[in-house]
This record gives sequence, structure tokens and C-alpha cells, in this order.
Amino acid sequence: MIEAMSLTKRFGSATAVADVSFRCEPGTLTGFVGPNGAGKSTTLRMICGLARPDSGTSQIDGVPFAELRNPMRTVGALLEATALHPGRSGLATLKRACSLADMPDERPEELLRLVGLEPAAWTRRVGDYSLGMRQRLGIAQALVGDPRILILDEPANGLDPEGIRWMRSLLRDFADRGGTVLLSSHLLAEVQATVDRLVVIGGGRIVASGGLDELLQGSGTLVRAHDMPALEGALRTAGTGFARREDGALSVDAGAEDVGLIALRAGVALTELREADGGDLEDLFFTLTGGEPLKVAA
Amino acid sequence: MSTMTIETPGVPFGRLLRVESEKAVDTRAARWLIAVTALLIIASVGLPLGLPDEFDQSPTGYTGATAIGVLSVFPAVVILLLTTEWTRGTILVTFTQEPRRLRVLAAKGLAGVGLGVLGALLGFAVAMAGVLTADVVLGREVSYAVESAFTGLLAASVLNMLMATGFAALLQNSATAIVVFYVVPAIWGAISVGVLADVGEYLDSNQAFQWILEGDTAGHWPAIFVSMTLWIAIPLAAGAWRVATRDVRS
Repeated sequence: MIEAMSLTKRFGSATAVADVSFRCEPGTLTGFVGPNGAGKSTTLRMICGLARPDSGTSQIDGVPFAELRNPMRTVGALLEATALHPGRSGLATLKRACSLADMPDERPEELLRLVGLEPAAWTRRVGDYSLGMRQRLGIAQALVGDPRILILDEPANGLDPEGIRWMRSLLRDFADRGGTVLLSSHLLAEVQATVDRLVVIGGGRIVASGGLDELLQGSGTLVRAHDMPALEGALRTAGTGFARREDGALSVDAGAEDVGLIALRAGVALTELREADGGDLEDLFFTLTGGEPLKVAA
Repeated sequence: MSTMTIETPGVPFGRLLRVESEKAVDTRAARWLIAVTALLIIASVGLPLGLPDEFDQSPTGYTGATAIGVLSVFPAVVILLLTTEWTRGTILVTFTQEPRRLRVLAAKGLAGVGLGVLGALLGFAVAMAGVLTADVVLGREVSYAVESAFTGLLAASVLNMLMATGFAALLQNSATAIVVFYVVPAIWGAISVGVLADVGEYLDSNQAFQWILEGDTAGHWPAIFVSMTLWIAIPLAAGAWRVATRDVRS
């Protein structure tokens, strides 16, 4: 279990992270999303005991990270794929971590196979690895101590689509076996397909958090008609709240059935009526963060 | 809901020390520095062999020469062991694997001390081989009285590595730490003349190292103590505080 309690971090007069609280339970995969500079990395570093919060605390399985003994056995962290010594080979890097965590000698090769690094690359210098290969090695390093918690900062950076799919299934599997996963991303679409829960951060503050379904429901029903003013009038008469979307459709705080009935009674022909889907989560994301829209990377 | 707590024993210090010692020597830069050190030690024995009038033909005279190799380049190995972690960002991984930062610092410092001991052993062995050569091959009259030849070299080498550890921990940047470690004591030596001369020997690390190396400690203990406090104890303490409290940022 990962718990952040009112974490706050200031750099000079700027507040990077303000009163951030959330909790990740065993068996769940939590996506920690927000635009670049929203405070994701700073929050994860505070959770990992690398940066001291100005106020607030965080705990891993009930104790602060810095008080964990042999933390690799409890929590695997990948905070920066480039934080690997370029002069050592992938195999040497894992051997060192394994000997520190007191894991068996066959563990490094087992992990290199698991993360899909070709045997030819095992003894090559990490300096010659691509970013995607470093991410895979970083994930292998996080898994060294067979932890029950994973904390990954932008692990999909530099991975190709095949690599992203591989990582999704690896993390899904990890959570399904009772593990706790917290992964950050600046791309909502990247984590949307994988996670159970979302913690959305913008400008250092949590702007939304909860189950993926819950957050989706919050955005209601999307509806469009030939005669939009008539539809708006009918909704107003029925006392149902709605909002105009940028694309001209309405976002209504009611189920699709109710909206359909309201339109029928008013004699308004609908051209589109559906539950808000993932695409709307992106709009929600946009609204919540109040920053640039977070589009899928090309 | 209950949280299962499994008591995991911490990483034993010996294991941490082994890992940090490996890290100290397994990079290209470290291997070069060690090779250069070995070469310097061997080359420096040529001085007392070639200039018998300038150097006592005794173990102390010869270790005085090999000390040049032992004390000069080796500190850079421990400086790099500490500073590259911060400059390359790998400290991020190191501290998530062992969050007790002062233990990590102690392991790194001790790895450096270990290297210092090895350097002193090599410096002494080469010096003794030099004395033997002077005696047997060159037929010179030599002394085999070891006196403080080994203990002086060992003490100077270990203190030298601790001084490097302190500077590296405090400055946390390879270039800065190396420049400050090598240049500042030399500048101090150069300016401590005249009025500063009397105070100077209390603050001059080179002078203190010279006394320790030559076993010429009688009457110099106060000055040695003061200068070692200034150049080793204070940087080490301040460095430990900085390592323990500094945020790791990208």
C-alpha cells in the first residue's frame, strides 16, 4: 500500500506540490497523470524518500520509505530511466542490485528475459542502449527484490507501441497478483487502457481522483440534435443540468435513457446520444488541469 | 482489512561495503586512475635509485618517493565514486535501494580507505624492492630499518582518502571536488609565508601530511591535529550533513 498524506513541497516561493493526498491499495493499478511540470515527479520523489516534503508525510506499507529495511524487497522504483551508469552492462547493473538485495544468482538473467532484452544486449554498456531498452532495464531493476509495490515515473517514455503493450500486460499481471502499482504519465491515453484508478494532478494539486468508471460517469451523457436550442430548452424545462462542449454537443448530467425521454416529449430529433466515453475523459482532463489539452502522442 | 507486515532484515553493512567497493573500481575512469597510480608508484622509485645523494637509502627515504604515487592520483577514485552518483543521477537508484544515506556514505568512504590501504601496501612493497635493488644490484650501502616507513605511509594514505571523501561529499560535483581537493591546499601552502607562516603550519595540510609520512610527529601533534580537523573532520561532517539532507532532483 502507498499512502500520501497532505504532501507539500515548495521550491523557494513556488509551490510545486500542494496538499497532495491519495492512497493506492494492493491489487490496484493507479495512474498518476497530469501535464509536465504538474508535480508528479516531485511527489513520487517525496514518496521514495528522495526529497523532503515541507509538510505532510507518506508511507509504504505503513512506514516512511526511509525507514524501510532492504526496500528493494518491498518496493521497486523506476524514477528516471537515464539514472543508470552508462559504463556498466545491463547484466552487471542487475547483478549489483541483486547482490545488494540478497537475491539468487540466476535472478538477473531471469529478469533480463522477462523484460525482453535480447541476450546480445546483456553484456553491452548501458550507454549504448536506446531509451526504450533503458526503460526495460529500469523495470527489471525495480523488480529485482520481487517487491509487492511498484512506483514508476513515466515508464512508457521511449517505448515503442509493442513495448507499451508489453508493459501494460506486465503491470496488469503484477496488480492482478495482489501487487500495488503507481505509475505516472503526462499522456492520459497511455494509462487509460491499463489503470483501475486515476489521480489527476494539475499545478501541484490533486484535481480529481477515483476509479476510472467513477471519473467517466462524472462526465454524463453526450447528446446532439438538429435543433440544439430546442434541446437545450427541453433540458432546462426538465431541470436537468448540462454544459455546451467545444464541438457543439451537450454534456448532460443524466443517463442516456432520461435524456432520450426528455427529447421525445419535446419532439426533438436526436442525431447522437451516448454515454460519455474515454474520449470525454480527455476533455475532463483538459478541464481539470486547465492547461494544454493532453493529446495522444503522435 | 489487515496489512501483512513482513520484517525484512536490513542490508548488512558488509554487503553495502562490498557493492560500493566494486562500484569504486569497475568504471573505465577508475581503472585508468588505478593503473596510473600503480605506474606512478613504480616510476617514483626511480628517484631514490637515480639520485642517491638526495634520498636516504633507507625504507623511509624510498617510501618518501613512492608516496608521490600513493597520495597523488588515488583520491580522485573516491571523489569520482561519490560525485558521479550525483552528476549522473544514479544516486536516485542508490538511495531507493538503501535509504540510510549515511551508511551509503560510510561504505563509499571505507571503500576509499580500503584503496588507500592497498596503495600504501604497494608503495611500501615497491620501496622495499627499491632498497633491495640499491643494495644487491647497485651495491650501495643501505639501511633496512623500517622505522615509520610503513606506518607513516599508511596513515598519510588513509587520511588522504578521508580528506577526498569529505571534499566529495561536501561538493557533490566531480570537477569542483577535484579542483578544490588538488588546488586549494597547494594555494594555501603558497600563501602561508611571512605573517601567516606561524599560523600556517597549523592550517597547512601538506605540511601535516609531510610530518605524518616521515614519522616526524614529535612536537607537531597540535599542528597536525588542527590541520586535520580543518581539512578532514570539518569537510566530512559538513559533507555528511549535506548528503543526509539534500533533495535528489533531476
